[in-house]
Amino acid sequence: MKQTSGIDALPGELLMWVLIFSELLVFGVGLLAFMAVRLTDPSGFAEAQSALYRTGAALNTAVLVTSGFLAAKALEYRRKDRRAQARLSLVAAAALGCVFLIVKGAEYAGKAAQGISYETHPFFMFYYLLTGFHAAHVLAGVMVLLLVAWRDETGNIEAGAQFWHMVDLIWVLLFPVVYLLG
Amino acid sequence: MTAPNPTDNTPRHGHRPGLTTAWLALLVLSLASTGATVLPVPQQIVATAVLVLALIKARVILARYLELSAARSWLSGLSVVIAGFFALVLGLFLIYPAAL
Repeated sequence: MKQTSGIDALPGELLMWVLIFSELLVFGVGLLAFMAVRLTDPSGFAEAQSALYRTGAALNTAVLVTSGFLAAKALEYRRKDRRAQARLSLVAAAALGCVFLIVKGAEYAGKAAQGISYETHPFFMFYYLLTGFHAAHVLAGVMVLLLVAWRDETGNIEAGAQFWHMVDLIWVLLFPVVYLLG
Repeated sequence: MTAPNPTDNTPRHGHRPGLTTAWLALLVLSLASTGATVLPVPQQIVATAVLVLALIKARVILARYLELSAARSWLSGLSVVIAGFFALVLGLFLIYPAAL
């Protein structure tokens, strides 16, 4: 039996892993910059953070990890040739991605109604930059999930699910830093 | 019949044990991290707890959702990198907790 090691041991598409490492690096540097700038005004950052809707963000965390679960189940179903269930799981995962975006949109609308913009405080510049860039990935991920539900070869679903789990993973890094560390 | 090779770390195609458990664990960990922020304990303890919970969540996603449980060295390596990231975040936070 062939043994795998090194890069060959990575499951799924190698290029997806290159993307995952790249995105983790980009968001990681962004979050560390956020924490570094916070040092210049910790009380101002805490006050700005208190304007965030933590419950909505926590709800979105549950939505995203549930969506990731459905994407993982879709791959499991496809590997067993249960294509209809795989497609249904992918569409459900994409629908939860849309729920995430709706909650995020409501959060942004709430901030706008309060007169809060990216110019209000450096905290909000990072907030809009990091969460907005992540939301763009969610939007792209929803389209990827629907695309692989249509073109449902196992390799396609595997790559699509990897992309979606990357979006999930980035949120797990972003959520505590931006929303919880007060 | 071919005996299973214990060193073979390619992903198992088919049933993925632990997927539902992983999902439930992620939900509980998410609830715990949000709940920790309202506990009447010092900010430093809350921050440490929140980041440790986030590290566990990241590891669950890597191991189960991204199937790195079948590639242990990659799982360990990435876990160390993410732990290092959270340690830096915690260090930057602890220099100036907001309450000061």
